[in-house]
Parts: sequence; C-alpha cells; structure tokens
Amino acid sequence: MKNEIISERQGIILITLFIIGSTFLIGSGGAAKQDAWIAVIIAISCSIILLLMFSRILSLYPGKDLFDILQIAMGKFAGKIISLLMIWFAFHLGALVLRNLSEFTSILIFSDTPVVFPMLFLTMLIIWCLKAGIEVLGRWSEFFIWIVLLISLLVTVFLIPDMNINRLKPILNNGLPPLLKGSLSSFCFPFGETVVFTMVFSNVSKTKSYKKTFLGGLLIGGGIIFLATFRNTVVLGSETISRIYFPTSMVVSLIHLGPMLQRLEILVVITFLICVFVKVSICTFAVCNGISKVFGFNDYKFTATPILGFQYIPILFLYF
Amino acid sequence: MFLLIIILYIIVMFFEGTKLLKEKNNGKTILYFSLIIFSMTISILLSLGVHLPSPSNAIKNIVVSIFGKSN
Repeated sequence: MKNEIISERQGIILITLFIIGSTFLIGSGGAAKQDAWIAVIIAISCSIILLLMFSRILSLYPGKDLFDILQIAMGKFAGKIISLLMIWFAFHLGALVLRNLSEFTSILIFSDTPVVFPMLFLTMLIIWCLKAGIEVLGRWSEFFIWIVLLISLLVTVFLIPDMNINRLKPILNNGLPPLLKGSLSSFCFPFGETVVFTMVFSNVSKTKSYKKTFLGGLLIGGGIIFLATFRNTVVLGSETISRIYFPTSMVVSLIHLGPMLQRLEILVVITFLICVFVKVSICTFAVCNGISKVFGFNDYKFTATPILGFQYIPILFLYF
Repeated sequence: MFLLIIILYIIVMFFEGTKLLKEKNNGKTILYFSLIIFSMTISILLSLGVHLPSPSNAIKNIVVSIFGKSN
C-alpha cells in the first residue's frame, strides 16, 4: 500500500458504494416495521460519531493503517492477535456478502445455472482487481458511482405513481423499543462495517484529516439508503417487506409506465453487482493487507489468490 | 469434480508459484504455499461431502454466552 494514492474524492465514492453495498437490495432496519426510515436517520446520526472516531485514529498516525497502529500502540504480539480478529471480521463480512450475491443470482437471475459458475467468474475478477491495486478500484468506482446514483434516482422517480403515504402510518405504533432495535441493526449492518476502511486507507493524498472523506461518504451513502428504505416502505408497506427476500427487486417489478418502462429489474441487478463488487474487493483488500502485515511483509498482492479461493468456498457449502 | 479442483489449483500454483520463486523471498513463498495448500484441502474436503463445522455457529455460541439469550 505504499505507493498507491487515492484522492479524497475517490475515498468518498468508495465509502458511498461500500455503504450502499447489499443494503440497497435487502433493506435496513426491518425490525422497526413502518418506522424503518426513522431508524435509518437515528443510525446515521449515531454513526457520525463512530466515523469521526475512525478518522481521528487514522489522522493521529499518518500513513499507517489499523494493523500498523495496533502494533505500535499495543506492542507486537497483542497487536498481531487483535489484527487477526479484525482480519477475521473482514473475511467473514466478505464471505457473507458474496453469499448474498450468490443467493440473489441463483434465485432471481440464473435459476437453472449451478451457482458455482457466476461466482467463480466474479471471484476471478476480484483477484484481478486485487492484483491491480486499490488505485485502480478507486478510479473504476469514480466512473460507476454515476450509474448507481442515476439508477437509484430514476427508480424512485418512476415509482411516484405507486406511492401511498398512508402506509407510513400509524407512526410509532409499537412504541419505542422496536424502533431502537431497528436502529441498532441499521447502525451495525451498513454503517458499522466501515471499520474495514481503517484497514485499507493508508494513503489518501493531500489530506491531514480523513473527516471529509468518511463523513461525506457516510452522508451520501446514508442518504441513498434512507431514500431506498423510505421508498420501499411507502410503495410496498411494512408487512410485505417483512415477507419477501429482496424488497427493491419487487418494487422495481411494479414499475409499469407505458410500453418502454416495464420489467426494469435488470437495473437493480446492475446496481447490486457494482456495489457488491466494491464491497467484496475492499473487504478482501483488508484481509490481504492484514495477513501480509501480520507476517511482516510489505507486499500484499501475492496473497490474493489463496485468500479468495478460501473465501469463495463457504458460499457454496457452509452457511458461513 | 474433485479432480477438476485439483487440476485448477495445480494450474494456479504453477503460474503464480514460478513467479514467486524467481523473487527468492523465502518468507513469501512459504506463506503463499501454506495458504494455498490450506485452501486446497478445504475445497477437496468439501467437494467430497465431508461435513465441516460452520464457524458462524461457533461465533453465535460465544456471543450468546457473553451477552445472554434475548430474542
């Protein structure tokens, strides 16, 4: 990670795509039924504090990522043990997201293909991306963020005829506890996972503080999640959402405006693929970076293939 | 299926291993080969149908024993 510099703008875009990740499709804060949108707002405000902490940690030790900081602050041995725990977290997260994508692919898109093959090709692409380095991923995502934003906005605009604000009522019907449970789950699930970025960002150019990067990404990503949750609740209603697997896909299949604008599920698939690609790439960057730092090497690229081979396996057989 | 996995892994090891051996950094070579052999054993075991314990159950047990069962 020594010579790879990503600009601040690319950092913001990477965090946005990471947060949108798999939440775009699955929905967030489901425990809070029709108040999921309030839960997301509470989660965003709590995670502002969390991300300010991460940016402060990174600013205090310029040019180093979390694994170096842990070894400096706690000594080599304890630092390596805790680094192993963080690597385990990033690994597990990547495997879960890949598993999500494989289930989506095998249920909705390629129902008759064994799920091995699309995932094998995606894994090979991610290995290639890892060997190219994070700079390439940053530049790639700078282009593809526009597609994601455009599709999110278009889908929301096309669904305006199907929206019914009465599905949001009664507000706070079940009281405060379900709302707080939903906001806790929303806080952990997309927003708390950005800790992976502390393991990846060691060189953002020309900045002394990462505040703008982290907070900008959080607010844009959080805004899109809020929009998606609000739109799903208002179009489908909370009971339907708790029963189906992929709310956004169902919502998009309801668009029917004339002969051209119908059956647009492919847009959701494209967005999901872009976001999941970024999410799994970043998680695997963190794992490879971590493993090479725990064993004392400067270079992380050679560990890409075995680690991804190991991460790809649990999708198929274990519920990892 | 099991032969296909072994062949794929051997191809990967051949391509990447020769590149690493030329660099003559013994630490990297050892780490790479140990990781890939670990990954290969787990793939082969899974393709033969051996039931490996899932780590998510282990994590669930640890978290429940610390925080207690709620929900």
